[in-house]
Amino acid sequence: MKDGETERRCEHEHEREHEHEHRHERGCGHQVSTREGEPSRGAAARVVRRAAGRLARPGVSDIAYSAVAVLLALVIGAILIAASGYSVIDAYANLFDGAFGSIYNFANTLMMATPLLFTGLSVAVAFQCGLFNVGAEGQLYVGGLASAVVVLVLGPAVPGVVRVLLALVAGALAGAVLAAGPGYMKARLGAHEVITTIMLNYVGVFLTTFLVKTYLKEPGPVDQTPLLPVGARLPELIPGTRVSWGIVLGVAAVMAVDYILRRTSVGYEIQTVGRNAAAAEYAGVNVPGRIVLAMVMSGAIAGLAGSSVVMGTLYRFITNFSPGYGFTGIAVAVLARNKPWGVLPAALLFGMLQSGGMSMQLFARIPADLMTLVQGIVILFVAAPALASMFLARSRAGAGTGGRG
Amino acid sequence: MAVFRKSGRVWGVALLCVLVLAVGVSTGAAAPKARVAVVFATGGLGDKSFNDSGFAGLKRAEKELGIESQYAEPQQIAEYETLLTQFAQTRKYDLIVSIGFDQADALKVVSAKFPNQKFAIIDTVVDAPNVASYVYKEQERGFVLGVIAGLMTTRTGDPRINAEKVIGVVGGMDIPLINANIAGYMAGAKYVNPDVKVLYSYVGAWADPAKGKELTLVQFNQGADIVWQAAGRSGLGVIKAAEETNHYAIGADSDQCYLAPKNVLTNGMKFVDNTIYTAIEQVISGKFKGGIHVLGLAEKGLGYTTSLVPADIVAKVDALAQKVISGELAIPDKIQDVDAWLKAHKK
Amino acid sequence: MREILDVIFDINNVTATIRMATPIALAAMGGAFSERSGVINIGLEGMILTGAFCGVLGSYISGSPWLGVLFAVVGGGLMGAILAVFAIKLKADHVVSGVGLNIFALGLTSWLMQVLWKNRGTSVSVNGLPMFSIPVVRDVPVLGTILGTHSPLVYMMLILIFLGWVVMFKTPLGLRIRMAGEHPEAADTVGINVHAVQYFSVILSGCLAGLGGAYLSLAQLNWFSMNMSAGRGYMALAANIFGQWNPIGGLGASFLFAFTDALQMRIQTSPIKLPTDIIQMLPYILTILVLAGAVIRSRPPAALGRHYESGRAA
Repeated sequence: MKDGETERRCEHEHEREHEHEHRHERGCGHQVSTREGEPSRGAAARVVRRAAGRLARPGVSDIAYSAVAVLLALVIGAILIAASGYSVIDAYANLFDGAFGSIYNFANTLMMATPLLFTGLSVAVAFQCGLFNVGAEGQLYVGGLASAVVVLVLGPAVPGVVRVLLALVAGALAGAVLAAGPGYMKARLGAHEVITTIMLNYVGVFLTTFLVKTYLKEPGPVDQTPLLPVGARLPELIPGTRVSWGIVLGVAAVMAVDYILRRTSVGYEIQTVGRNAAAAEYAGVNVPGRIVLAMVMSGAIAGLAGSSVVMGTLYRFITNFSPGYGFTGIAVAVLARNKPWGVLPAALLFGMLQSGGMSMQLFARIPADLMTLVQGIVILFVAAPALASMFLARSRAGAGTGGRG
Repeated sequence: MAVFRKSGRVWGVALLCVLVLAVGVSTGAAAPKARVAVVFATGGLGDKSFNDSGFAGLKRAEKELGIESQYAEPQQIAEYETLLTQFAQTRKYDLIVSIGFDQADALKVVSAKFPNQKFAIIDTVVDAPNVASYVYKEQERGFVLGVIAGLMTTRTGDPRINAEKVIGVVGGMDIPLINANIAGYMAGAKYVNPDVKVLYSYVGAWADPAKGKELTLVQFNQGADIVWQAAGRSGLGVIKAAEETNHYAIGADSDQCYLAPKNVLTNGMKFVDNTIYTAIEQVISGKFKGGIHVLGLAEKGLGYTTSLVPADIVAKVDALAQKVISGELAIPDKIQDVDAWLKAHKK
Repeated sequence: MREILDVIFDINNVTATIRMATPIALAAMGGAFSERSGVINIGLEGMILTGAFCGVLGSYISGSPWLGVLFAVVGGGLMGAILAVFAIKLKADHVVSGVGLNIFALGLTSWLMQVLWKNRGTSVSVNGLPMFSIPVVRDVPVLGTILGTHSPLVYMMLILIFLGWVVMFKTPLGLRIRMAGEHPEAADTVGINVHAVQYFSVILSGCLAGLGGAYLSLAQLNWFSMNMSAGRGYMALAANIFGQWNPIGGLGASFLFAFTDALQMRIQTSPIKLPTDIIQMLPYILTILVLAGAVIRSRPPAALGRHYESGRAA
């Protein structure tokens, strides 16, 4: 088993030389568990890369390719919209207006992006350690409930700021606890985290529902906690709009994760485990410990996603409140190529599509499903950098030069 | 390559055509009597339940009252407040309707921000002068269906009815609204037939008909012969199970007999369409009134269809329904209250 | 105690298990083929959904449920082809393409529902598949209840799982698939066209998941309902890993998931009085416990998720 693993990892390293050429050519990484900034091995690879660099279009970055991909997806969306008999101009004018047209609308974009910023970051952190956390959904439920409980239990005797801070800590802790289980089972028993986290998603939803019904229910037709008092919420970031300080918290989380991963030895070890567990172990890294730690970090951040929605948007815990923030977080993370700072624009893109999609539906009367369809296409296209580069190459130089990925 | 550039030009032309078309369509048409906006519940249209029923009421108002309507189908709870605000901001709607109990928080905020805007909300209460809240006594609908099922399960000579005195109900989720229905159903069945056993279970989802079917088969295996579905789209699986095993199912919210004409015994109706139609009518005639409107059998907000129900049972149900309407029978809305209620109402 | 045993050992639980496991097991086998060839397949959910939709569409157009099944297999296969093009040719990240595909399939089917049937929630009813009884088996006491009468797709599933296992582990094709996923460089060296093998496997996985979808929409029901896959694709994902990327293992895991779910449903209407949410949580807790107890060290195919660039055709 061990030998097999080592051999496999060696193959992996070999493969990555190819990967690097691509990454530098197109400015994108593909593999879940790899990351940039690692020196390439071998002179041949360097030569190839330089050649590729000349062929590639310098200055065209990740962002440009992603932008082209989004545009391409929107063009396909336009065809679909036109084909179903709606006005494309009207649709996209409303999409833009809904996302950026006013401070209120822009705030909506930020509000929609907030939970995705956390869940995206959560999934990305786990990926950095080579773990696929499909369980952000369950973790955000327990996090959200923990925050609500802390605020409600502490009562008005405790100052609002303290309540908010403690509630955030509780949210992170609860998420971390739910994620620690799969981390431990992976590290010690080898149980695959995809299975355990999928199962725990359901547990998170049913458990919080049970707890709310049994202990915290506000009388009425909805199973939900009472409203959180005004002084103990995440305040509005822009007064009169719906965006809360949650988004600032999210950016802070991005900075913190970026710092931990790049500047601390623990972060470096986590990434080493993600890249090559066998090598990490050989180098003396406590591999099981780092796996558990990465899951704990991932779960804590997902828990904060729940806290940010409960304390900054809904102002109470409502059973079954999440429309799948945890699953969308997977898309956000991988669009961000699992880099903490990449999560920010990726989450904003989704926030924009959602808030703009609302206006498209309201004022251009485009069915919401068409918007879902376009979202799916955007994800597919942004995921495929080769598509954008193919498009760029062709539109630039015509036949012959580009295209081949 | 050439193909690619050419198709670009084709797209440009197509875009232009669409633009011209859009401009052409948006002109004309006389001013409407009223403008109404509706924000549906997150389940969205196509639930064959209250969203669809509300939509039907809106369409009828369009046709018969000459109103103009606009609607939104939110995908998450966080969208409600934004959508309501966006509608209210235009200040061109005479009435904005919220459908579904989970919109209360959002509507409370928005109705305070726009005190001159008229709102209506279905299935829950928002205490504001500019909001008309419509709530249903769900337990009354459950009660009449329970009476029908309780009487029906002892019939002989009907191949769809077995010897055992067991009936069932499959709920979408274990939530107060569904439980009010179930409580009424149990009360009704045991009121007319104290020996009857009422099974109930929940799908845990509103949109998984395959699972709804399996839950129903479990109940049939335990001797049930009539199962009511209170589970939205999951509940359509209940009707499928009844058809396949030749038992009875009871439909919900709208007439679902067409799904299995020989096996849908009756339907528990919730006339959201009438409610919305009436609310719009009142706005047009200047009779809009904020506050709570409780709808039950008496107000014809709820009801049942006679469908396959034998005439003698229809007569008995109608007599009992009259007692509910007159206020003589107040139906419990919590499952744990049913036993006490039955003791108090022993015949 | 007696009552609890009655609930657990209710023979009907087993029959229900087989029914409910069918779509999950088919999709899980799809996942096994795709991932054995090196392509992560998160898109099973969307493939099931598309299959379910195309199945109803086929039956709606032709009136024949069997043509519907064919449509479902083709529809699922098309989704597989989309995933294959993105993941293999365009070198998109496998996970994110799968996630995108799921959202795409949900949007596409709901939108087409409106175009075709003017209702995004539920389609019209179409001709579904009739039940099938095995003559002698159905009269055997216990076995007859469990296996005697099912949809033909259930029997087809059992046969396909066995065939899938044979193909994967006993044929040269299976060896190629596994080599592509374990060691693409070596596969390339011995003349295997890695990308072709991957295209085949991913499209096949779409066909199998699509067949699972047809079971939902044409065997269990006879209409399409928006998002009717309801998470079964994710369960299949878990079943595939649980089953060690082996069709028979995947079937076993699907049985486990379906059995705990059947048990949960049975407990709800039993004298065992537990809060509903706790009962509904049981299947997932049990699965985790079994996984922990079984101490299964999941080892994915070595080159899973990688983009292989052939030395010959870069």
